[in-house]
Amino acid sequence: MVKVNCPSCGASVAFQSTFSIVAVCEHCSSTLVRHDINVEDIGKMATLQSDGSPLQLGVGGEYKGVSFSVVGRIQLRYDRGIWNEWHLMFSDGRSGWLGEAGGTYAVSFLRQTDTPIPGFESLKAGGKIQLRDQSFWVQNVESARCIAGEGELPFRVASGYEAPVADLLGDQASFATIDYSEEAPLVFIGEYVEFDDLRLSNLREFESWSNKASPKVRAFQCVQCGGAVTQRGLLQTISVVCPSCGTIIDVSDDNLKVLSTFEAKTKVKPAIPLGTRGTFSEGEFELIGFLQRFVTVEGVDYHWREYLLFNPYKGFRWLSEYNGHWNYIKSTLHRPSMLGNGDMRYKGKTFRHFQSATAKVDYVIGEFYWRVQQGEACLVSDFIDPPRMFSVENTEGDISYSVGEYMEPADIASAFKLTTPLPSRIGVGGSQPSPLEKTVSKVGAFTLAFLAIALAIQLATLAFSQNRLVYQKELAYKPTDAEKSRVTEVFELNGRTSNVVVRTRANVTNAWIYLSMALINDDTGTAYDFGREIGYYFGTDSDGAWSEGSQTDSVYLPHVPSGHYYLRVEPEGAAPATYMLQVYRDVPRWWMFLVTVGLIVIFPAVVLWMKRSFEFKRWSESDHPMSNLVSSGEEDDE
Amino acid sequence: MIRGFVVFGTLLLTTFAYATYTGAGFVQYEEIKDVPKSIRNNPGVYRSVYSRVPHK
Repeated sequence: MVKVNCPSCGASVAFQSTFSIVAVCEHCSSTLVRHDINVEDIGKMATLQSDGSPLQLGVGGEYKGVSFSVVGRIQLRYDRGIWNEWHLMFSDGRSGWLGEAGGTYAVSFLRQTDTPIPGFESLKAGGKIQLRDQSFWVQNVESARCIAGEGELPFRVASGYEAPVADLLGDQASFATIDYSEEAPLVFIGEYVEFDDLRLSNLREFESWSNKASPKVRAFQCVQCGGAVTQRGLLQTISVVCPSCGTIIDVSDDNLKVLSTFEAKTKVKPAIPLGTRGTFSEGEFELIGFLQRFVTVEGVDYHWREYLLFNPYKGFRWLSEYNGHWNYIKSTLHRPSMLGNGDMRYKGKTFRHFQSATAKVDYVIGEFYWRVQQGEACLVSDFIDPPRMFSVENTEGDISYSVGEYMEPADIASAFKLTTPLPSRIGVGGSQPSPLEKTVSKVGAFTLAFLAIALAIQLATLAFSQNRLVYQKELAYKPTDAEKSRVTEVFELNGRTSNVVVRTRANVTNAWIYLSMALINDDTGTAYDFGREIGYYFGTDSDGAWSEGSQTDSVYLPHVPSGHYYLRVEPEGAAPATYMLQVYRDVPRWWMFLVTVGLIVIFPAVVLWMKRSFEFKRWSESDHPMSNLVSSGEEDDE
Repeated sequence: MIRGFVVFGTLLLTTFAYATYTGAGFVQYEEIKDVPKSIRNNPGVYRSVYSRVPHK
């Protein structure tokens, strides 16, 4: 660290970073340029504008395991408000930048690149640029103006200088800025980071947020109607709508410039009052803005409502509500990958295209971090991976991404401690998780387990069954016999109680024979009495040859205990015949297995049908309605 | 719902295993106790339940 005395006021001014060549005296705002052995006072630095940033000089933090401290700042104004570039001094000696605007944070480092840089005028949102073997896509193109600087900076800055810049998004959260304010454009490459990941300390405290004090608001009179207007966004919002006359006021302008006035045919009352604070998994947020947007599809307007939430440290979040379905939405700077079939991938998950339409704003109240306008339009594309929804909003010169997560209305009511009921749910929300999603996977797992067990039982039965011919005998029948009944020799059925199969073959042709049979246990005197008919007919008619019936028959007698048995057979028929009797013991069968499998799969089939029905309702609201409940669906694209 | 399916599946598999093991089936037959030993010598004395079933 080098300390010098300010040539203007004599106060001590420190140069902590070896990269710093400029320091602004915190006592008299003189801009001091460091030379080899002395410092030069190049004039007073303009006053920084109050901007509600949670950062300040002296803030400490950590990036990828390396600690840093904030030693300087350049404050810039761009079309959508104020943007700060905080100069970081890392503990490993590096110098970097923390870009911060509206709760978005990006760490970047000045990089040399041999790749030719396209001209500023040729840049368009969505265009691809190659930098140091990395692909980037232009996110937005802005002409920013420097408001002021403070602390230590690695180059000279002066209030008012123009900084044409392009923000680029790479794969994942990689980020680059091309600063065209120098003759040779400066390239800064880094990545977007989450506020919590930076582990910032010594942050600025906001009175109404660092304790449980009531929300602090800035109040002023509407320049159009004189009505009371409040601003809750701690100078991070730039347009406020007068609740009395609908005038949209630019609060980033010292003179409270009127941006526009909107006229709504009917006032829309938010389901959650402005100024209400709610607690979510990310922390506490205050509801500061409300707008209604709509899309027109086949001549029908579909309206939904969006609620802007604010936290001075975390930035902005959104709640959207359509037909009583809520999503908690956060902007993301992770660039998704578009897939060839129109779907996209984001953080390793595939999101299916749901809907694309041009959305227009038709009602606004509260305040916003951009200059909102009635009728403002943008192309919105929604992709879903329930319970998450990924949205791409494309306006001229700007592409923004956001990811939302479905919230149950009861959770919304609980977060805000609402006592009034929220709009009732109608239909199925685009990102609404199927209540059967977990059930389906569990039922699927149990079904597979049950089927495996059933198969194992069947295989064991096949492997261990006797399936043995115990006895066979051929007998003859004549209708003229005085005594037609016959008995067989005694045979033994051993093993456990199981089935017995009696197979019969009779040489009947265009005739029948009926066999009244009894399997009789010679030991106990128990008889299993049954009858079988064998008939076989054939011939020719005008349609050709035909046949009917069969010369063979099988009957399975269940639950037959072991023992010594014989068969008693009493034949009956019009014609003489010989018949062969075969007795089998313990014969495995397939029908019970098939019935079991059929009964097992009924339950998952019903669950799948219910899930399918749920998805049918979901996709009916999309650009890809299912053609019906049975087919694989979603192929009904026009 | 899952619990119901598990109970149903368990009962079904138990029934299947028991039925398979004991050779269960749905064939219609009559079980008659204590038929006389003399059938072996004189089969005609036995009157089958099915001998009076009408047929072709």
